[in-house]
Amino acid sequence: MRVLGRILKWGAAGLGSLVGIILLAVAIAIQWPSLWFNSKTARWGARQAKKAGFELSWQSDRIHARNLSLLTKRFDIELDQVCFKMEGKTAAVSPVDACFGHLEASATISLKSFPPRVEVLGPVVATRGQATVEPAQFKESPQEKKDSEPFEIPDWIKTARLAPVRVEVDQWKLKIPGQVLTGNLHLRNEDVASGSLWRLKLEESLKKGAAAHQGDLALALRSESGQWKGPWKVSSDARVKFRDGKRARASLQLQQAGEVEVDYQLEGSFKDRDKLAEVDARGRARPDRVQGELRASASNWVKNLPRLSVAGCAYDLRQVTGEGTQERADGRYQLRCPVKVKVPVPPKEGVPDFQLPAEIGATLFADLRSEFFPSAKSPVSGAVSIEVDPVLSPLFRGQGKVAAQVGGVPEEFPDHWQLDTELALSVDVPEFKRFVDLLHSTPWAIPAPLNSLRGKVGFGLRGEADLSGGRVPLFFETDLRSSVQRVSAEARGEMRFTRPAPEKVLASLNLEVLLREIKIVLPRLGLEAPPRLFPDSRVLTRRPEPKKAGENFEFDYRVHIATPPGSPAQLVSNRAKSPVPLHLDLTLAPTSETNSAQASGISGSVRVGEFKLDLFRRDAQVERFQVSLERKRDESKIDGSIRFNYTDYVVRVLLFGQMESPQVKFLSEPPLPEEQIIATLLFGRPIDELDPDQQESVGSMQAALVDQALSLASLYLFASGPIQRVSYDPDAEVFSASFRLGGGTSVSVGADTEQVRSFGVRKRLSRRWSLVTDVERESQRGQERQGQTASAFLEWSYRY
Amino acid sequence: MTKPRRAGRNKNRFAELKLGVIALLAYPLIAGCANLQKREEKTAYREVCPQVYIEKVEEDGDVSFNDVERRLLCGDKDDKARIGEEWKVIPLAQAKFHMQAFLQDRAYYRPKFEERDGKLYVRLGEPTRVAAIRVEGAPPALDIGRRREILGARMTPAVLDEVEQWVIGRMHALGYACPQVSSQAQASTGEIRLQVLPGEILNVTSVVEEPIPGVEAGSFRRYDAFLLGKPFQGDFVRLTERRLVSESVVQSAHFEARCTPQGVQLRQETMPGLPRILTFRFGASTEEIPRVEVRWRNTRLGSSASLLDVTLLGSPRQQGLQGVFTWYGFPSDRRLYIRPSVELRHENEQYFESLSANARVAPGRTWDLPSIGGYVDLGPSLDLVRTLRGEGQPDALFLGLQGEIRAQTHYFEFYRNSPRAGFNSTLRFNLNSRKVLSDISAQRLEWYGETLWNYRQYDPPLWILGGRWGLGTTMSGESLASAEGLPATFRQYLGGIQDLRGFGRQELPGPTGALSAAFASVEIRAGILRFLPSGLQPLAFTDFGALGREEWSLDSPLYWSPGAGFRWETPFGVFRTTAAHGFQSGGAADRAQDFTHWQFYLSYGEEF
Repeated sequence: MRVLGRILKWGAAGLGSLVGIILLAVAIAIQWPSLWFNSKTARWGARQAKKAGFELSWQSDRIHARNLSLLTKRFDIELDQVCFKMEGKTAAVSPVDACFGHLEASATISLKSFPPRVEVLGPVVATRGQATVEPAQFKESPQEKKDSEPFEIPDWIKTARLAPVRVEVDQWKLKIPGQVLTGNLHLRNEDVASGSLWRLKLEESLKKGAAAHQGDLALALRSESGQWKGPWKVSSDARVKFRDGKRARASLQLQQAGEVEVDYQLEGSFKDRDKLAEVDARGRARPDRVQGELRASASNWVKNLPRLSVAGCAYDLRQVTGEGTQERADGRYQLRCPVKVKVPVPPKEGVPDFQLPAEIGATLFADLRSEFFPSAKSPVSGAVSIEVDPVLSPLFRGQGKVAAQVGGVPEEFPDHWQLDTELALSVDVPEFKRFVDLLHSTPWAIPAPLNSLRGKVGFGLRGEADLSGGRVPLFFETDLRSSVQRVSAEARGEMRFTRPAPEKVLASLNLEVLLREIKIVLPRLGLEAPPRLFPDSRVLTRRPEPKKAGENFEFDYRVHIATPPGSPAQLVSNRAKSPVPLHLDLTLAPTSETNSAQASGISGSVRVGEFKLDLFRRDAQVERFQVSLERKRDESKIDGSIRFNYTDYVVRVLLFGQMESPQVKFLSEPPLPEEQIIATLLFGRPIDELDPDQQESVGSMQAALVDQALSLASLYLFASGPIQRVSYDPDAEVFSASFRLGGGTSVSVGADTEQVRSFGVRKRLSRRWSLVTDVERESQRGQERQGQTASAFLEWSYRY
Repeated sequence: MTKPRRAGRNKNRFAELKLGVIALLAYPLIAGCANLQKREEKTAYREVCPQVYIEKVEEDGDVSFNDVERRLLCGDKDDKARIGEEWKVIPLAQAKFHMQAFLQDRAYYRPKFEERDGKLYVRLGEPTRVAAIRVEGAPPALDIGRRREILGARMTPAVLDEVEQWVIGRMHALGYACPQVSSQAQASTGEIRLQVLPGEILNVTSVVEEPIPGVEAGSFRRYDAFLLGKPFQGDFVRLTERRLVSESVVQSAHFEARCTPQGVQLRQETMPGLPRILTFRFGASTEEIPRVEVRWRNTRLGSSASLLDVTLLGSPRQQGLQGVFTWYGFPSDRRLYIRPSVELRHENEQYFESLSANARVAPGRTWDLPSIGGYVDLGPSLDLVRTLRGEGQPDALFLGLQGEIRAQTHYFEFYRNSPRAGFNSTLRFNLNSRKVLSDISAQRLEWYGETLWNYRQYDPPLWILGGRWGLGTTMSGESLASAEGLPATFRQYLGGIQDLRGFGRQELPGPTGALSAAFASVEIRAGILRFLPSGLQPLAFTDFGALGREEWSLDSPLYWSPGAGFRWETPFGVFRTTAAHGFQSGGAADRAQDFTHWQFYLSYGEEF
């Protein structure tokens, strides 16, 4: 016990001595802080920091610690040529190398509490600074992100009063891959009446590369309490001027409105020559909700659209409690955004003035759900729609709406996305004439004879689509008329989209066009050959472009054009006594043939109804006439029958075979030889009563018909004129005809071969008179030695 | 101090020199640009209508438009027209579209359009000319290079038609009855590509005739230039058509070729017309002005379509009446005929005047091989000749055997009115003997012909080389000088457009004539040359000839006549004009025998 008591006694004495020594040491340290806060301990500390990767050195120092009271100490550090260097040991820490010519820092620390608190921080003066920062990585690793905690100002400094701070970095460098960003930085803190105000002024420039620029940033951070705890008010203004002339400016105002609420106001602009984008967003944000109003505009970014703007665009991004998972809080994003599109007035040169309103409006609605706060990796779902305000102009009226149910991960778009869209659009042209007048002097002028029509035209579409494809029903209606013409038609069909592969889109149009009432006037034709209305497809005016491999968009179409059974389309021509009734049943589809000259995109049939016409200077009745068009042009067939009533007999001209070289058969009741029928048709008289020239014409016509040398159009043209003479060169398969005009003149149509290869040349002067050159055969000239004798005669002949 | 100043002066001079050189070099460029600008500014336009103006083209003549084209460019301004109101106003964009199509017909594929003050101004640019023609799929025998006048021509759709038709024609000539030809042309390069699907060379298997009332089927097969069972030849099918028409047996004829797996079936379509033809002719033959003919023919006599031809003719040199009946009465051989004929003739030539009567019966036959044809006939002939003036006995009776064999290539016949290829040759004889009811024994033999060679077989020809020859002799014991001697029709003469063009018609060797004669001619003729107007074709020739007073012999002098001329092919026929100088080499005994002089001929319808 004694021993124990002695031990306890010595132990208590030792402990008391130790406590006494410690208390004494603490008292000494408190009373004489310069004992532990001096140059030597500072250098010792710097050496220890170097071991931790933070290298700190200076040339000379003046370090003082003073007693302001027993428990209030002031520490002053003054260093010359101070440098610090930090190695980037982890990806999150960037290497820093900085030096200041002079550094002063002071702090007043109160030892009245534990841990001790900083009562006054500063003044801090760092001048003639130079710094180089080389960010090791820009991306955080997921592990580091998970481990990192939000930085919080420790309590022992949070209540410190800020004395003036002045940091001047004359030159800093930020090394990024391939580039060096340089600039200067001035940071000040001042005591102002309403607290403390931090001002940061930063200038930076990038000399090389596409992003070469010069910029400056002014940042003001005000703490109304004059301490680190706020309330805070941040004001920043940044400007960047790029070397290629682009300019950007941004201004951000943040005002702490509560413990976790911030009022914000962001204004920004970007200018690239005449392109200008401006944005103004203001509202309130808190950790679980961001709401505000956006005003933005973009000028001259889209061709022919001078300005696109949104104003009063309300958005509300908020966390929806109780609906998310434990890991991810659910967010709801709502948007109601009026959009205005400014229409160019006056229009660009060459572009007609469609008399559109100065602005076309639309409203964008969105109600989306996603992770809060959203990221490109978080799934999004909800509804988005655009409603176009009704467009009213003197020329047309139009309105439209597109609504979509969306769902997917933004960064994966369009893969795995749902985009179920409904769209509706309608455009009406109430007065077609105005449209005609408007377009008259433009490259899109409505051509004659349609430009004489009056009435209205309507177009619309309504349908659904998604990313795997879509179906958009559309319609088109016209109700146009002029004094003679009429174009009343309606088209209904649908446009389909499919995506057989992610990068490939197939579009197809299927349209049914019903020509309810069509009456069109053809140009007035003369007896001469009809002019070429379309370029000859055999002549290529530009080199054929090979189809690009891997084209991602393919368009297919099928347009069916038909006339109602009892209402054929009518063609009015000066070469027909009455309108030609056409029953159409045609299908237009793209040609798959490589040689487009041999293939046509049109198939179906054109049937001419019964009508009277003037053929061969007689009344004729078309009993039937049908053209069956095939995709391969040379397989297109005709089948027709034209009846001529004579006193004693009926003549029928049958047309059949290929459309481009039809076969013609002449039949009569009672039966007559074919040449007799042709003679009657061509010249109105039996062949016996024709002069030799006319008889030859009958033969030529017969030969040309046998050779199928006459196209349908040529046949009609020849048949509808007063034929005087017909000639046909079988070698060249060239048919020509002379028509008798008034006043004893005639006009020749077709390539007029003069049969220079024939035996003898005969030039008809009148019905029986000809000019003839002849080479007589030797055998008929008896004994004349040189039997081949040429002669030229004025010949009168009579065949009987 | 001097040196720097000089250096400075030199420097200034160098600078001036440099400026001068730069100015000198720049001047053409600047001037060129200025000229270009001036040219741009100076583009002269012609009014098509108040809203369309087109560039004036001085070199090839202005582009003109027909009425319908004008309506489509300018609108239909005819207020009296029943319809057309809807076409009154043509927007400039539409006018531009039409203009492009119309200009394509004129080979202008790169027009430039400018709209000013509501008017359309059209600058034509250069017309596209055919720079190359490539043929794919054709047999090697088809050489597109033979087709002239296409390269360099304006590349219009009509030219494409022309080239396509030419290829089809040549394919027909090569035996491909049903070829398919399509063309495509590149406006920027002037290249034409022809795609030929030749099909197969097929034989002609049959001819289906359209019946002709009163004519037995097959009667017209005597005119066939093609052969059944042999390969189809398009040119010869056309030749057959021409033979039918030129003989007037039908008014028009046409063969339609139908290709079947077995071969080509020809369908003969004819427009027979009426068989009897009465003709009055008034005109001029080569060396006779005027000449009048009255002719009556029945071209389809009987079921075999025999020919009866009666001609009455009159001219200052000849008057006559001829009746010829060609009877095709052998159904087993349609080419076989018997041709009886009678003729009364009065001739009044430079050296003689005669009155003759001839009666003849000549069985004969025509023949055609794959590329050559002809005829042969042989029969008795009775001639009565009364010489009214000139050498020979006043009255002579001849009963003899007269025959003729002729061969000519089909192409000679095919191009008869525009000669360019082939040959023909005729052998003719007339044998008489005192022993067989003739007053005089005289055997007259003649062989003549001509051949033509188309240089490189161009179409149309570039150069045509021709040769012409004739040999004739009369074998008789009679003397030329004898008053009782041979009548003029048995004597040989030369001179004239038919043989020696440097001499007058039958001028050589003088009034007595000769018993033997020979001549040869060579002629070279240019084809259609672009630089000559209206298709004038220049030609040059030299004719040689000699005569002999004895049978089978030729005496001096040698007559020859170089000359030149032009051939002009018109829609009315062929005009030829030649100027030649007749020369004689050796043996000119006296002035009376000197025939050298210039000779000018203008002929119409005459060919070499």
